[in-house]
Amino acid sequence: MSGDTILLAVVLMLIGGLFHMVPRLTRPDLFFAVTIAPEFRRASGGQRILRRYHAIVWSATLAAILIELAAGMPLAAVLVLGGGFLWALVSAHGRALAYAVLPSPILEVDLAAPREGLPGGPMVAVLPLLFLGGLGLWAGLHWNRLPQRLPVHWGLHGADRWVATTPASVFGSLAVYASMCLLLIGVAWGLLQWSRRISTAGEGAAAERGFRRRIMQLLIVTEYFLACPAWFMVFQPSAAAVNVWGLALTAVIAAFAVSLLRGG
Amino acid sequence: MILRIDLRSSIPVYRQIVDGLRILLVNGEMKPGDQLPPVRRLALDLGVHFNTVAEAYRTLEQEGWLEIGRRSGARVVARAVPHKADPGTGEAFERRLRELAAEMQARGFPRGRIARELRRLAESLERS
Repeated sequence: MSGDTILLAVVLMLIGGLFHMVPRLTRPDLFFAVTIAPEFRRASGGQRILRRYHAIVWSATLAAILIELAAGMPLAAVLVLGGGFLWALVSAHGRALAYAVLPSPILEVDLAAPREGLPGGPMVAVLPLLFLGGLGLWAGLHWNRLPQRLPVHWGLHGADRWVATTPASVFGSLAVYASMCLLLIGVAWGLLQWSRRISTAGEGAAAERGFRRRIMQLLIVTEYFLACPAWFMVFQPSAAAVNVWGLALTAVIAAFAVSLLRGG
Repeated sequence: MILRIDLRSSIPVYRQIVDGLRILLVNGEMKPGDQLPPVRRLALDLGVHFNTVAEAYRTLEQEGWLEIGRRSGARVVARAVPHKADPGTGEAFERRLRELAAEMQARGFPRGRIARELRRLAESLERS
């Protein structure tokens, strides 16, 4: 059994865990995309739907892991996991529809709610873009110092896929990283400006603000992590440095997931 | 400082926003210098079109409660209270009060409760 197979099995397990948490990552009055009374989640009907959803998700996860470990078919394993997740969602949605309620016609807004902004200010969000721009400038000015080939993919033992150093490969890759950073800034900005507040007052509103802030922090931290591979590509540090980046990324994502769950 | 609207109400949403904000302004809960949420933000939170909120803000601007800047948004300003109300306006408001009391009665509110609510309102007005 190869290291890649074991790694994929672990990733499948982690994805299964993420799918397990999906029903919690929503508003209290939404349950599998159905408007329900907030207390329904804890009632026996809600718990029954949730148990069935978890059973389908974990069955699909175990089946996917077995397919990968026994037959070494990664595509089939991913399809089984994805298909199981979709089936679990559709099935839970259908069952939750029986408990749907009409949304409240009373809408409230707290006019004294504190103003929110991007965590750390706009400069913190834009910095990775400036870094990528600076890297592109450096590459343009020191073209002769760039290696003959550039790494574009890294495994546990360092870079394992390469492309020839051409203007298209260098500036194209930097443009891709910059586009991803722009997309993350756009999502954070949209969350701030164009998302509807659900709780308007009290602890619920404060918790919601905290949740939104954590999501924005995650998006901006991800930008910084995205800028790193561009640096790896141009300066080609050791495999250990790349692994430290991978471990740090995993730790940050895990910390945010725990923080989001604890924040409710 | 909560602004509340009822989507079931026969009163247009724009009017409910104007009335709700005016109550906060008259009671002094919103003071000169206070900033109102941007039109799009409030519209999004209430789930209404932004023109509805913009219209409500414009109405309050015309009444002298708000100052609307292109970049600065809507801000509460010190409003000069008219020294003497127009007698015609007084009659119109009295008629509206009677109409409101009649509507409450028609909707099943007991006369005693309506009277109590009006008395409570009168007392709070006298105190302020």
